[in-house]
Amino acid sequence: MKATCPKCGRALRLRDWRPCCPYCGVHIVQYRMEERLQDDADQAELEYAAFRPRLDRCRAATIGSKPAVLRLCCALLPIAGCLLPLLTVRTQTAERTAITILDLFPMIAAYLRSDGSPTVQGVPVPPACAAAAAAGLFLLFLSLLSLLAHLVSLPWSCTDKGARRARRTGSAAWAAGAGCLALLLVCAGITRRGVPEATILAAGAGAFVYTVLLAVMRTVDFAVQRRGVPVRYTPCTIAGIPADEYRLLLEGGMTPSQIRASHTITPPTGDPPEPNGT
Amino acid sequence: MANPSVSAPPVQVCDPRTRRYVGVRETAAYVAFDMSQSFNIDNERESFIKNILMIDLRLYALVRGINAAWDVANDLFTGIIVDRTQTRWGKFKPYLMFLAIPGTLLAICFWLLPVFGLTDMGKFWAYLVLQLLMEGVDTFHGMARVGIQATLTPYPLDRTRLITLANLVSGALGEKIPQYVMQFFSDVLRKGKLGGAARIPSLYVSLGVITTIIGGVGAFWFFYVCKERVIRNEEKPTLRQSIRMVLHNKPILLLTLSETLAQLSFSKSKGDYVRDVLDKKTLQTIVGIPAAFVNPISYGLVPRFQRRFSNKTLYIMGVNCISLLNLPVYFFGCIGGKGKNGMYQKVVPMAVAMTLHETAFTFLFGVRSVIPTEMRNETMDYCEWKTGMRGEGMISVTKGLATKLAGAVNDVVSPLILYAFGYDEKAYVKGGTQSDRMKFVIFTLYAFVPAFTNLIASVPILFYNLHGQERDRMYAELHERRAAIAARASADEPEQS
Repeated sequence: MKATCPKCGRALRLRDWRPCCPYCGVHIVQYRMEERLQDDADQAELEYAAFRPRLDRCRAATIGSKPAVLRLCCALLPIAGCLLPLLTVRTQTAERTAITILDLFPMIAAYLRSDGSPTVQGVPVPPACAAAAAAGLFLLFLSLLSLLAHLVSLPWSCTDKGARRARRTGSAAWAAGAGCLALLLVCAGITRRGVPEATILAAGAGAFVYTVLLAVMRTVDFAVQRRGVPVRYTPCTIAGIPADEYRLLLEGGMTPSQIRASHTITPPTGDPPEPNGT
Repeated sequence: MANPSVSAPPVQVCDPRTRRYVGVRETAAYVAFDMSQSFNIDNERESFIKNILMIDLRLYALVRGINAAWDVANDLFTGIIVDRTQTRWGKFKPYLMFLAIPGTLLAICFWLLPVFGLTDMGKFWAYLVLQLLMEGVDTFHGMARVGIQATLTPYPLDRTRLITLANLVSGALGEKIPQYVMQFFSDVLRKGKLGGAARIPSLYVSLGVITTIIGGVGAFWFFYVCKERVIRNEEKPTLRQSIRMVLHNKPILLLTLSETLAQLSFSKSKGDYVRDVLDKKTLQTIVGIPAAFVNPISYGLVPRFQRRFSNKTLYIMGVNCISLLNLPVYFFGCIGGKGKNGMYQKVVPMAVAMTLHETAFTFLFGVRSVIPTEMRNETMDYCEWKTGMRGEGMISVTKGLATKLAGAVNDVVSPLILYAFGYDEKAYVKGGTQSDRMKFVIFTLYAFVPAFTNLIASVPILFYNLHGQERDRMYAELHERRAAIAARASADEPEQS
């Protein structure tokens, strides 16, 4: 949008950098600055009045009530489960190694590079077991992504669409987490049924805790959504006028300066009242 | 009997001092701009120059010396140039807009230096030229950034709201992510994974360039949409007037003195203590985890604190909260004496104490980050109130010069203090530790000394008188004066063809 002089309305070029208009000589910055400042304020407050309900809904969905806070805490808790050992490896010499989420990536990379004889911590494991563990960890990865999506969708869950999105992401996180746990249990079963002294890959405490916490998260989420989250909308004003009333006046064809002028209070022109007058 | 020729002016329904002037889009752009200031790996610059560019340390010291002299010299004339600037876009927007792209390009060239395969002297000259150009651009840009923050909106309530929101949201959106990414991948590469240490230069180059571009885009968006909303007098200050503006501006002199004294603390940081005494660098991050949840709350408390206390009181509270709350940590650490049995050398108890300390002072973190900026903006309004002219440029120069000087003194004296007590600079890389005596000195410089130096730094602020009725009177008169300037400009301009 080209810049124009606020008085004469002529277009200003980039090289017209001086503060005075080259055509009418008016000071472009100062000319009717107070009125333009009030126009800016009207516009800013109008934008804020349109934006504020969204903020109120986000606030209500996250920290607006005790159930909402509980729901948020339950959504964060499964992350604690991930910090515990997700896998345990017991070797032939009964040595136990706990594998946490930080150990998983080099382990998966090594499995993908292996030429048919996968190993874990340098010890060979049956291929079926390794495949089950890899698939389980892939589901874990999906579950974590879904959990992240669920956390991001929670502040927007006060609308129908937002609530559906939060339900879907929460359910996906739980389903993937449960799938991961199931595959890790299958993995342990495979190794136990195999050669008795072979290396055993099993689900660690973290996998169980993670899945249980996801189930708790889904339950609390379901209960809170069923009960409903009350939203307290903050009343907004524009130039001191309630936002709804102001919008009606705008739609009626009034300009912001006309609205401001029509809503000013003009004190009476008589003598000021006696200090102790009746 | 009523006099029909006299009528009081109409009174607005709402107080203009409480209105919002900056819209949602401009506010979002301001947040992006605030985030762009920290969304970088500038804290790794020194490491980049020494370990990646591998510029000879003597040449590096020479560049620093030349740059420091250039920094002081260009501050002096930049301030007056900025203060005398008058364009139809305002005083600061031209510098922000026209220097944004060159500044970004220079920073990209800096991070790309290792790619060019220069010789040692080639690297030196390239670095010197880039540094001088970047310093010049950054001086203008820095003053303009400070100035636009003071003129984005004419009233302090709206200004404080913007600063608080920007600090809160930019922190929550992850302005420090590049630094965490840098730390994580540096450690991974140094352990020989993902290609090993040979890929560290690529890490610096790619992160440096990417964060510069992202930060540059965010900042440019703000520069494009921002507006200066403070009406100012047409008169351009002379050099003498500019200097007088600062010398007769008691609030800015007091603030500058306070910040200068704070720079002369000769203290040690939490990082120094956890590295040299507890030998657990990651503790620095771990003790801050609970405080991360308190951080957003602290910004929500800023308006409540402002309703109860003046900016002066909040400034003093903010400056001293960390150091005074650290005194119980110090006394706790002293249990068991100065030797190996001293609690200050035990990781777990000190981690708990430091966590509690950090969580406690974080309640005042919002105040600490918002109030000094708001007070600096107030001093610029004070300058306009007293002299009729705004001197953002010279005020920035004054503050910058004083704190740089104090910082330089601190940089010289602090190592000498460590040397005097027998600090072993080779101990860390050799896997050794400092002596018990040195550890206790570091602990004292971290947890005890700042309590006194910060109290001394707060003394000038006791004489800061821009609060209460004086402040209200200042803003009322400024409002009238600006309205009068606008009315004059609107009323008596001549028509010209």
